[in-house]
Amino acid sequence: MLRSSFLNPVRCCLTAAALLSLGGCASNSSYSWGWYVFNPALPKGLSNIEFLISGVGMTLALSVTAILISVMMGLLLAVSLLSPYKALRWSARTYVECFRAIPLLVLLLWVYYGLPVVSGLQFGAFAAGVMSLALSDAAFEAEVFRAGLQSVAKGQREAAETLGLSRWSTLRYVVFPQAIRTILPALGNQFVYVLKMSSLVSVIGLQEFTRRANELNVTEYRPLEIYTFLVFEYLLLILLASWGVRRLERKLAQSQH
Amino acid sequence: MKLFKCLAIHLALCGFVLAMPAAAQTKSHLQSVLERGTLRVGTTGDFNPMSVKDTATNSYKGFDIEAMEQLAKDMGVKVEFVPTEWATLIAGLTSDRYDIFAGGSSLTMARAKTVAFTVPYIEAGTVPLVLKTNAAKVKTWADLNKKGTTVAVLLGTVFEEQAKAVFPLATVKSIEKPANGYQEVLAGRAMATITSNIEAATLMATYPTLTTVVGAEPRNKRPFAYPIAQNDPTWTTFLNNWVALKTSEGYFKALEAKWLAAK
Repeated sequence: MLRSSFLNPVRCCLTAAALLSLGGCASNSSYSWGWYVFNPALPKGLSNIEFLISGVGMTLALSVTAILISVMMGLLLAVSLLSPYKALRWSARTYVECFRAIPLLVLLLWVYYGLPVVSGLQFGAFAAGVMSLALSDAAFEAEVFRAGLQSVAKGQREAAETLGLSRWSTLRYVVFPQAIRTILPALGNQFVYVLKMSSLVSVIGLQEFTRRANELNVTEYRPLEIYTFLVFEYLLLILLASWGVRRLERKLAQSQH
Repeated sequence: MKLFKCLAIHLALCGFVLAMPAAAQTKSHLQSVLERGTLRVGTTGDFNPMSVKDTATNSYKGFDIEAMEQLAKDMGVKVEFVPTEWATLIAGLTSDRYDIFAGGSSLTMARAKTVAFTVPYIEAGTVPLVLKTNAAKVKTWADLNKKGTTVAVLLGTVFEEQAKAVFPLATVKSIEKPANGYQEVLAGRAMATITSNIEAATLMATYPTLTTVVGAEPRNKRPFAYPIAQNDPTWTTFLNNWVALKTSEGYFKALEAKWLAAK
């Protein structure tokens, strides 16, 4: 009980804010902060806050779509990686190795600017962003799922086979329910990773958190204040996400008994 | 053996993707803009006051934004602004993400190798910005070209090229967006930043601790022109005629008075 209240997202955020403001006051006293840019009492301050916060829709839309696609792709890849067919195994391995090696920013620029030149395929900014995030993340998800599936004792599989379960049923009813408990913490990690990496999509012009902060910076010329605000936007969002994953983990752990 | 077969198939697939013919640009941009009914304008929204985001309405505004709205109006089409970055300005044109780029792009030979430019519409110069407290130490351009002096500039801009050419002895620090050269000056990590006289005016108004170097005449005077894709003479001619017409009408002078004067 004590543990869960300590890890409460709101409390974490407040603690971080307190630490940061302490650090800000102590270090360079010659810098005059311009927090007026976020003064909710001023009409401009209020519109600035609204402008930045409304990036949440795009950040979430991007990340959630990318996560859903990459989980499905990752699962397919993991099953392929463990497949008895060599061609399937090799295709999946090639995919994982290639896409794990390409930095997301490079992939993003390539899909958005390179693909139209090379193949004539012109994806919109959102599609290109989701695609790059999903393609890159799927390679990592694949390894997470593979490790989880392999962690289930071999005897379980053999027992299921003896009972006459098909390969698919074994996977669906025996292996996967046990594997998910091992997978979930690492999967939660990947969710957070995708949420953060979505900030890179700002380079192709999607108005998520980071792009909006950059845009506001041009007219306000207060980067330190604006990026501090941005830090807290991500912090709150990600703490909420990881808090959700932890709750899910606990639920699954209870259902085990 | 199977391994090699598998690899061979993959390589063949990769080759196929790369060999697919590029979307053939047989039509002129002029024709496609008129057919589409929309002029797609690439802009960065990060060059005050040429192209900035009005955060209250979440739309673009500025000298070049207004000019492009006028161009669309003169063509009888709608205008659509496509957000881009300086580093990917050219990629956006070559991959046909937009028909024209507008947002205070200067005409440089480096850019002119890969994109076409319209005829120029205004002229700008480069000035150094330093902290007022250092103004006594820095009186001319030469004062910045010394060992141990750091000049911060934004990566991928003409100022980066210029700083490297003008300050061979100084350390030129290329700053990646979203950080910026002036921030390095404010933080005391760089002695100076160089930027156009256009942006310097807005910067000094926001940060009273910054000043231009009085003894340093604006240098690298250069024209601003709109970048467009190469190999499209019809579109180039059309836009050149538009710029010439608007210059004669005094349209750009009026825009200068509105956006650039006394700031």
